[in-house]
Formats: sequence, C-alpha cells, structure tokens
Amino acid sequence: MMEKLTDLYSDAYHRFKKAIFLFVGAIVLGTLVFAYLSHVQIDGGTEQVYITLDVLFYIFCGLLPVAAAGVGCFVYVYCKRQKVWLSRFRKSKLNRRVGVFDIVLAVIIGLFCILCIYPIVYVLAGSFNQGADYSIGGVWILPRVFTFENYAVVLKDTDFWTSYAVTIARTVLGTALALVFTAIVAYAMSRPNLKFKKTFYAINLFTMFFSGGLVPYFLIIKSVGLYDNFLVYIIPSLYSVYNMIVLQSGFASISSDIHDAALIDGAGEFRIWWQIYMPLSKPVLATIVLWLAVGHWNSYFDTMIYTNSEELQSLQYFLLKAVQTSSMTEGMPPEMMERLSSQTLSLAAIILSIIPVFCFFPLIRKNFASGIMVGSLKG
Amino acid sequence: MKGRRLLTSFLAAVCAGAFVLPAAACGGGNMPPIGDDGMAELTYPDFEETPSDKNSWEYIPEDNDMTIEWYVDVSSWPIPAENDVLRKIKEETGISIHFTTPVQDDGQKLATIIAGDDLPDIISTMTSKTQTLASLAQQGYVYDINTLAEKWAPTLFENVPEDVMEWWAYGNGKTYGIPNHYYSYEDIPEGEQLQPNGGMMVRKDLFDAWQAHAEEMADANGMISYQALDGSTKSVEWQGYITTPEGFKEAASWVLGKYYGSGKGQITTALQLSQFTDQGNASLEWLAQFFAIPFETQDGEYEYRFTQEEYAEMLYWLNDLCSTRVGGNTLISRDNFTQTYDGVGSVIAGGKAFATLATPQDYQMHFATAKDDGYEYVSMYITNSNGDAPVLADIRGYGYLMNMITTDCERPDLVIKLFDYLSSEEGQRLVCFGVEGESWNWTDEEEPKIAYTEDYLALKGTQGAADLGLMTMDLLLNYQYYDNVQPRTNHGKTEAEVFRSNLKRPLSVYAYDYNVTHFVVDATDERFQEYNNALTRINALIGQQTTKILQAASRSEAEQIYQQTVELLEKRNLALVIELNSEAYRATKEKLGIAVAWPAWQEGYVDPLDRTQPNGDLSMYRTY
Amino acid sequence: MVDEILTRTESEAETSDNTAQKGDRKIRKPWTGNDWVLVGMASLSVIFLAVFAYAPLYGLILAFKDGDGWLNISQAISVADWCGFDNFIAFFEDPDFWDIILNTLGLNLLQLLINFPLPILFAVFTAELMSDQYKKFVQTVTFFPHFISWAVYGGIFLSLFALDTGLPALLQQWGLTDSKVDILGDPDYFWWIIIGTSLLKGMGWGSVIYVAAIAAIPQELYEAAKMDGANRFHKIAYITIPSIAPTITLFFILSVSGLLNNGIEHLLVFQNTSNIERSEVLDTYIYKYGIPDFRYSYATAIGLLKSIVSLFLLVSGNWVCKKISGKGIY
Repeated sequence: MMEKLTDLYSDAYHRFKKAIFLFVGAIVLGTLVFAYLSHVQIDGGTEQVYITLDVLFYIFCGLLPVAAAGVGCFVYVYCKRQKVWLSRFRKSKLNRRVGVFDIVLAVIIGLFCILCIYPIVYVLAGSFNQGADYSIGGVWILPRVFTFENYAVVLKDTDFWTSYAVTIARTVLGTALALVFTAIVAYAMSRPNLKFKKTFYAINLFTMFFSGGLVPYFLIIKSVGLYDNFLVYIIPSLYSVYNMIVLQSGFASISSDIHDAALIDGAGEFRIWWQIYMPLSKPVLATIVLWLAVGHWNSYFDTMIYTNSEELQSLQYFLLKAVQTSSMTEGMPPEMMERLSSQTLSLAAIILSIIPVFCFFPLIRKNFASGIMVGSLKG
Repeated sequence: MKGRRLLTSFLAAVCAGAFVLPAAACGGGNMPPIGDDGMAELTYPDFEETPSDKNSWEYIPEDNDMTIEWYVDVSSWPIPAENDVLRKIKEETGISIHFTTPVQDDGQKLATIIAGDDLPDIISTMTSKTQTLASLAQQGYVYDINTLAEKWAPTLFENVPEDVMEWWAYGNGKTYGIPNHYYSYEDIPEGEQLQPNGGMMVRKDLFDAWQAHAEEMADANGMISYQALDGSTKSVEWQGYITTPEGFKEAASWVLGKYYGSGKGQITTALQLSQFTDQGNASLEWLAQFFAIPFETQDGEYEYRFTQEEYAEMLYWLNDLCSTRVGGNTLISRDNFTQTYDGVGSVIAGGKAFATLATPQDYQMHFATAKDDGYEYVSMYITNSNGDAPVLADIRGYGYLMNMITTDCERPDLVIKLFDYLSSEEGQRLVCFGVEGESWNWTDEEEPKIAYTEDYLALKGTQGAADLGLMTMDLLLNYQYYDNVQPRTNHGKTEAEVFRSNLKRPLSVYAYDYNVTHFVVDATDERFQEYNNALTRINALIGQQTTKILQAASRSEAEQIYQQTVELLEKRNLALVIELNSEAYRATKEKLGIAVAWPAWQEGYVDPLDRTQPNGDLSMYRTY
Repeated sequence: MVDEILTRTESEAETSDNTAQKGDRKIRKPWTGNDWVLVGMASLSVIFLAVFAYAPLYGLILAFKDGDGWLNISQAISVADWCGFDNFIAFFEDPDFWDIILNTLGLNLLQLLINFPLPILFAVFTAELMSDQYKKFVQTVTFFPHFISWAVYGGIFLSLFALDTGLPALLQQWGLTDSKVDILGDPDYFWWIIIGTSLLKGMGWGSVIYVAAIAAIPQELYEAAKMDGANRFHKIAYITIPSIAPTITLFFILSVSGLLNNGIEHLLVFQNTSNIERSEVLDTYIYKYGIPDFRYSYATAIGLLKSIVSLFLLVSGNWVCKKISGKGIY
C-alpha cells in the first residue's frame, strides 16, 4: 500500500489526502463548535439542551486523539513522498523559486482577505444573536446570546419560498435573455463596418445620462401592460447600454481575421456571432452574467413600485418587509415601534439572501480563464 | 438611396411612436374642478342614503362580500396576518381588507400610486405630512368624511369625537380623514393628568449613590447652598439639589468621575441626548419644557423657539456640559453628535449613561434590556435656574396616522360604515381586546368592566396570541378610550409591560395640555408652498448649527455661533415661517376656546414643584 | 467570388474609418445581406431604448414647469404652468450651492483618482500569486462585502469608530493620540472615510472585470518574455498592463461619465450634523429636499443639471482618451 501512496502519479494519494483532511477537519470543527455552544448562553435554552451539548462536546474531545493519529499517518506518508519527489526533480530548472516579494504579496493580500471575510463573520454572529442583547452592542465575532429566533421569524412565512422561486426564475430567465439580447447588439456595434454606427452610438449613449424620472418610467411600464406582471422583471432589463459597451469592447478585441475567414467560408453574421464570437468571449460574458445575475438577485425596487400582488414578490423585497414588520410583542401600539430586533432580523435576512450567490460564483469563475483564441487562427 | 431612406423612416417612426406612448399614458383622468372654497369639488356616487336610527353598519346587506385595498404609507407598520379580529370585522361588515405598505419611507410608492391612477380604497399616512394630506384633499383624491357620514353613516358623528373632527377640518369646515391614536377632550376623565410625552431618566443605583453623598453635604436644616448661574447664592433641599441646573452639573461631574469606564456597570456619559438629525434634536425640546420656557408671549402670541433668549441660555448651559471635563471626559459625550438611533439605544441598553433626555417611549425596549441586566432607570425632573416648575407637554394629541377614503373607492357608502364600526365603542373594544367571549368578557359587577379570559392569559406571549389579533388593527384606535376601559389589574400584563408603561408616570404631575402647539398650518393657503420650503431648510440649518453651538469650545464662541445662526435664519425667510405659524396659532386657540395657553399663566395654576421628590410623584405608578 | 468578397469587406472597413473627411463624397456601395443583418441587430437596441429610455424623457419638461406640490406627476407635466429657468435659479441661489458642488466634485474626483486604479492593481497582483488555490480563494472571498448593504456595512464602521467604545478610545489608551479623534464627526475626515470604506467594500467586486481580462492573456506571451530574460515586473509592465489597456480605458471613460453620481445609501450612513458641510452632495440634497415635499420640479431641474454636466464629462473623457491612446468608446 505504501508504494501506491508514494507513487507520484497515482490517484490513491490524493484520495487519501482528501479523506484525511475531511476527517480531521470535521473533528476539529466539531470540537470547536460544541466547545463554543456548550459554554455560550442560549436564548431559551433548557437544562436538557445544555446537557446534550456538553455530551457532544465530550464525544468530540474523545475523538481528538484519533484525529491526531490520522494527521500523524499523513505526515509520515507525505515525508516519504517528498523524498521520492526530491530525488527525481531536485535538479530541474523549471521550478520557480519562492521570492520575498511573493511572501509579502501573499501576506498583504491575506490581510485584505481577512478584512473582506470579517463583515460576513460579523453578520453571521449578529444573526444568531438575540435581538435585545445585540442592542447593547459589542457583538464582534461570536454571538453572545445564541438563538435561532431571527431565522425562524423570517422563514416562518410561506411567502418566503414563493419569493425565492420568483427570484430564481427571474434571475435565470432574465440573465439568459438579457445576455443574448445585449450580446447581439454589442456584436453589431463592434463591427467597424456597421452602417450608421455613429448614429447608433449617439442614440445609445445619450440615454445613459438623461432620464425622465421614476414616474414617467412607471407610466410607460403601465401603458405597455407590464404592471403587476412577471415579465416586468424580464423585459425592461433586457438591455443596458453600459453592458453593451463593455461587451462590444470585448468583441472588438477579437481580431477581425477570424471574422473575415468565416465570411469566406460562407457564414452569415448571425452564425459568426453565435458560433465564433460568443465562445471566444467567455471571460467578458462571464462578467456580464455575474453583473446581470447579481442585479436580478438583489433587486427589490421593481417589486415595490411595479407590482402589487403577493405572488410576484422578489426575495429581497420579502426579506426587507420581514425585517420591517417584525414581531410586535405583547400588544404594544405600533407607534412605539419595536425596532430592537430589526437589527438582528436584517442580518439574518442578509445571510439568507447571499448563500446562493456564494454557491453560484465558483461556476462563473470557471469561465474566466481562456486561451482558446490563439489556436483558431492556425491552419 | 432606397435602403437608407427606409431605415431612416423606420427609425423615425419608432421614435415618434415612443413619444405617443406617454401621451396615451398621460390620459389618466382629469382633475376635478376647484370650488369656491379652494378645495376640489367632489361628486358622490348615487347609493341609497342610510337613516340614523340604528348603527349604520347594521344596514350593510347580509350577503355583502367585498375586499378593499388599504394602503398604509408607513413602511414599519406591521401588516396583520389573518386573525380573529379581522375575521370578526368580516363577519359584521362583509368586508375583507388587503393591506399594503411601502418598503421604504421616501414617498416614491405613493407618488407612483397616484400618478399611475391606481389608487387603493383607503390611504393612511402620517399626520405630520401636512403637505400630502392637504394636497390629496385639494386635488380631489379623497372624499370628505362629513358628506360621506351624513349620507351613509350618520352614527359616525357620535362615535368619532367632535373635537377630533374639528381639529383636522380645513378652511371649508370639512374633514377629509379620521386619525388614530387620538386623545379627545370628551374621553379624558375629569381632572386626570396624562403622562408627559418627553422625560428625563436617571440610573437608579448611581442616583442613590449621589443622593447619599448629597445628604452628607447638607447643613443642619437639610439645605444645600450653592452659587446659581446668575451669581447669586441660593439654597435648596438636599434631595432636590440634583434637580437644579447647577446641582445637576455637580452631580454629573461627581458620578462621571467615579464611574467612568468601559467595564460592566460603568458609564461613558453623564447626560445622553437623542440622536442629532437634520431636523434637530428631540431632547432639546424636552429640556426646554423642563426649563419651563414659554411657548407664547405674555400677550398670548406665538413665540418662535430658537430665537427665544431663554432657549439660547439653555443651549449655553448644554454647551457648558459638553465642554466640562472630568478626568479628561466630557459630561456629554462627543459620541452623541454622531450616534444613530441604534447608537443611542446601545448606550441606554448597556446602562452606559447616568442620565438621559432621550424620548423614553422610543427606547422603551432598551430601558427594559438595561433593567434585565440590573441597571434600572427611573424618572427625574430638572428645573431652570430660577426655580420654576417644569411645564411638560403631555401625550395628548390628535393623531398619528390619518385614514382617508379615496375617490377611486367604488363603494364609499360601505367603507364609511366600516369606519363607523371601527370607531364605535364596540369596534374599539374589538380592536383593543379581541373578540368578546374569546379573549375577554364583561365582569359580573354593577358597573361591568373588561377582564381577559383565562384562555387568553394562557396564550399570552406565544404565537397563539397573535391569532387573536389584539392591537393589530389599530388604524382607527382611540387611545384614550383604550386607556379608560382597559383592565386595571395586573392580570394580562407582564412585569416588563408594566415597567414600560410606567417609565414617565411620576412626572405626570408636571404634564399639561400642549395641544395648542400642535397647530396645523393651513396648507390650502397660497403661501404654503413657500412656507414649507423655507421651513425644511430652516430646520436643517438649526440641526446643523445646534451641533456647532453645543460643541463650541467656550461660551463666547457659542454665543457668536448663535448670533450667526439667527442671522442666517432670517436670510432663509424665517419671517414668513413665523407669520404663518402665528396665524395658525391664533386660529387654533380660537378653535380650542383658550385665551391663555401657557399652563403656568392660566387661572388656577398651582405650582406643583416639590424638591423633596426629585423623581416626581412616585404614587402615580400604576400597577396595571 | 472569394476575391470579390475580400475586396468588399476591406474597402467597407476603410470607408467607415475615413468618416472624418467631410469633403469626399462617400462611395455608395449597395448594401449586402450582412449589412442588413448588422443594422437589424443594432436596431434592436433602438427599439428597446425608444420605449424604455426615450419615451420617459418627456418627464424632463417638469424641470421647466412650476410643478412643485402637485401630487399627480403626469398631471403636473401636462397641465402645470411653464416657468422657464426658475427652478434652476432657485437652486443656484441656495446658500449651500457652492458647498454642495465642491463636495460632489471633490469627493468624486478623489474617488476616481484612488478607487479607479486600485482594483486594477489588485487584479494584477492577485494574478501574480503563486498558488492557484490561494488565488481562487482570494478571488472568491474578496467580493463578499459587496453583498452586504451599506446600512449594515457602514454600521460596522460606525461602531468601530465610536468615540467612547471604538478605535479612538483604543488609540488614546495606547497613547498614540492625545485625545479621542472624532473620526465620525470631523468634516475633514469625511471624504477619507467614504473613500476608505468604499475601497474595502468594492475593490474585490470591481476587480472582477480586470481579472477576467488578465485571464484572457495568452500564456505564451509570458513564456516568451521569460525566455528573453524578463523578470516579474517587466512582465507586468510590458505584457499585462498593455494587454488590458483597452479595458482600463473603457472603464475610465465610463467612470468619468458617472462622476456626479454618488451612492446615496453609502453617504447617508456616514452623514451627520457635525460633518454636513463636507458631506452634502447633489444626490443627498435631492433626496432630502426634493422628493419628500413633492418638489418634483425642483428635483427634476437639479437632476437635469447633473445629466448635462455628466454628458459633458463623458465627451471630454472620450476625447482625452482618444488623444492619448487613439481609442475611445466611439
């Protein structure tokens, strides 16, 4: 077995590595989590709950030695492997040395990453913290009084799932359609031989600056029949001049030799656009998709102004409403607004709305790298 | 060239078409003509009139089944879920209500509703938005309640107090909506003193510590001599030393010196004020009331607050507190100037202030949290240097939200009956206490009172209680009526609730009718637009400059900034604001039938000042 | 056949490049099928904009009408009296006019100078990271803050910079400052707070497009350079940056044209009565004095003013870029 593991080209080592990491990670994580939970004040916690948590904590503590053993095994295998590796590759010049600059860079960027992760930690901590206690301030990293109440309040409403569905639908549909629509226009605008190019540009750019205001826009929406209609989420956002400009710049940077070559092969503009330019512009397209999708995901304003029925509520709108019309305890008149818990409720709402985004982003990332273009001109 | 011309004409057609669209969209109804009274002339639908022999809602046909749209223009108003109160309303009137609220309070939703010709049946918005209310009435978007009630709900006039209707009437004598949370003179029991609107709170344990120290400072007679702000020497009972401006400063300095810190139980500020917004600071108005600064002249004419000499003196006193340092820390923390609502709240909730002038009911949950952690706040008062008793505004007023029936409503005859039902005593009881027999019953006494049922008490505080719907449909709530008939025992209230409602009660002895100061400037006046623009800028300027005055390094600098501010105010058309305010003030006094409005100058005024009771009259605590 | 097509496409390309020559008569070529297709594609945008962008423009006439106080905006637009430039003059006469303009331009210029280059540098240096996994991690994590609303993100800083309980108190305790520095209240700090917080929140998100652009640079270029003996910084200066230059130019122009727009939410969080003289900008002014009082004419007039100045900025920005690099947006 040792041979299989130290074989530099086998899969077994990587699987082994993954398994060990997962196992050890789970145990360590579990220990930390239950250490925290069994010692923090839990809002509404009964004796039983605390006892259960304590027991779990002890179980995980007991598993720690096993984890340590696992780590030990791994280190042993790793060292053996390094020896094999070094003996084969030590003298190769292809390796890049790690310089001072690299370390400094990694550290600085690492610090920045911490600064970026911290707000999420802050929001998470607040969202699991009881509202009244949170108002005293001072909850920075971990909740002081633990509770699921904030999430419960928000999720209790059945409308929550409807709004989730609405938002997913509009994000998928709206992004796809807008991408195609805008890309078609952008492609045309990027062609140097477009007739009336200046006119088209003027028409487009002018609208970036001048807007008639909310109400005239609203009246147009009404007269076109989009009021209180699911399509109001899709059609008005089919096209954006800003996105078009970015896309056309991406298309323009593709050398026109390809275009001409395709023309010679008898392709029409549409086919050239769909089969050549689109695949070559993956990075730009990915960025636009990201912008469009996030825009759809985060929107609430259009729900507020252009719709009236409950079935059309977008997720953000729903979450904002949940925050504002939060629990009114014990018959207090609403003018003595209890805004106490709205802080923590809004934090829970934020977490609920960004989870899918984080799942979605890695998919986008895959499209960023590209280098396909170079190959297509040869031959 | 054919192709090009084709293209050009195509594009031109598209653009032209684009401009036709708005014209089509614009045809959204014509405005009704303006009548002689300056208000829109309304046309009323032709439904059968209702006689006045029995309750108007009993005339609603049995089979009536309609749903109305009720838009509440306050984003934080909690929309009630389907509950028993709403079900009972449906039972009695056949009307189901669909509520909507905006998500933000910037007025955009209302603007689009109106411009899009998509009016709901009822609009409710805050009474402070006088411009909105007047415009809705003037431009013919809402019916006047008088005509509707005359035709289809004559009993409404008995159910809504007359003074409430009159208060909100415009120049033409008509009222265009019914408010909620009002306190009518008809309902307030004879001789009862309502609790004050503002209040000063102090942390009990630190207060007691100081009082012990003050007791030691007293001479044989139990008096403390001190040097007053005007230079003279005065003396006061040791219990009340803290209630003088000079004494408070000394107490604050002493407490701050001993207890400053960021640990548990320590304080970071001696006096916490409300949030400073671009409309000013609420605490300054409460302090002015504690300092008994009159709101009218000796002749009974309107006085503008900011330019009053006594008000300036008050600002300088505060400036002194802001610049006095004890151990390097100021008595009023610099933080106060940049704190938001949550920031102020966290100071209170953490017990980090010795005394506060923040509006207690705005922070009642924070006071409750502090109490749970062991830092109880109790009320106290403070006087001006002359020793005048505080003259505080009590909580009475004529409403928080105004409910109006729009001209788009198809059946105003039925909706006005709904208003009648909700305003009647039967309806008020339903809204406040729930369905009779379910959550409350009449007691078996000679004069029956309301008592909660066991079932309700068991459910209280849990999700089940929400289904019963108490206090969720408060849009036409008569607050004084509720206060009059609510059960006067502890049962039905938790300790926290009792604590919250008692925050300012001891100060009731100093609270008086301030209704005159809530005057409403006639928005149908042609100068109103200009007045409103000037008022907004003036308030913003005062908000800014007050901050600077308080933060000034010395009294002379503060005085300089104050003078500058007054000049700038005059440049921003302060004269017009004062003029219109004065006219409205006079008109309101006439409406209320008062000659002398300042309580301290009224006949029969008894000076209630009692220095031995610095916390106010503690016997006024309610046990329910 | 093939030759014909080639010549045609070549000369078409030439013709559209030479549009500056006014004297020449343009060679009228018959339109090909492809020309029609392209024009059709571009016309899609015209149709869309005609409905959703140009039609609402009629609302702009409100700026020239006395429409303040009207509830029904469409009525105000059609029925209210004309009042010429009164609304604009009213704005010029506002005592705070110069402060507002100074703040808007100053704050935004500073933001442009600082917030524009930094995401680019960030993208460039992130690409330099050795470990691929770390790179992925960084790219994913750095745009987390973008998704938190300003109310909450700003709230973190409000707590952090609170005089009594936050950073100022700490700094004083450690003896680094004499007294507690009033970061949140002092007008002089306001611009730096805005820039700093917007950097922290937006740098990751703003660098996405540059990351995408850098990822598109073919690896062969780098390898070739390495063979020629280039070190890391040479590579950055001569390959990376020039390759993404078009992207940079593009976004520079777009940023310039958006110069007068501020994130209202962001500003409202940090604006307070103490620092108002440096924190009032056009957008907050319109928000506070235009809409709540139904002063739509006034608000529209100021908005129109903003638009004209922005347009002017775009045109100049494009001209500058053309002079420098020969390429602009159009």
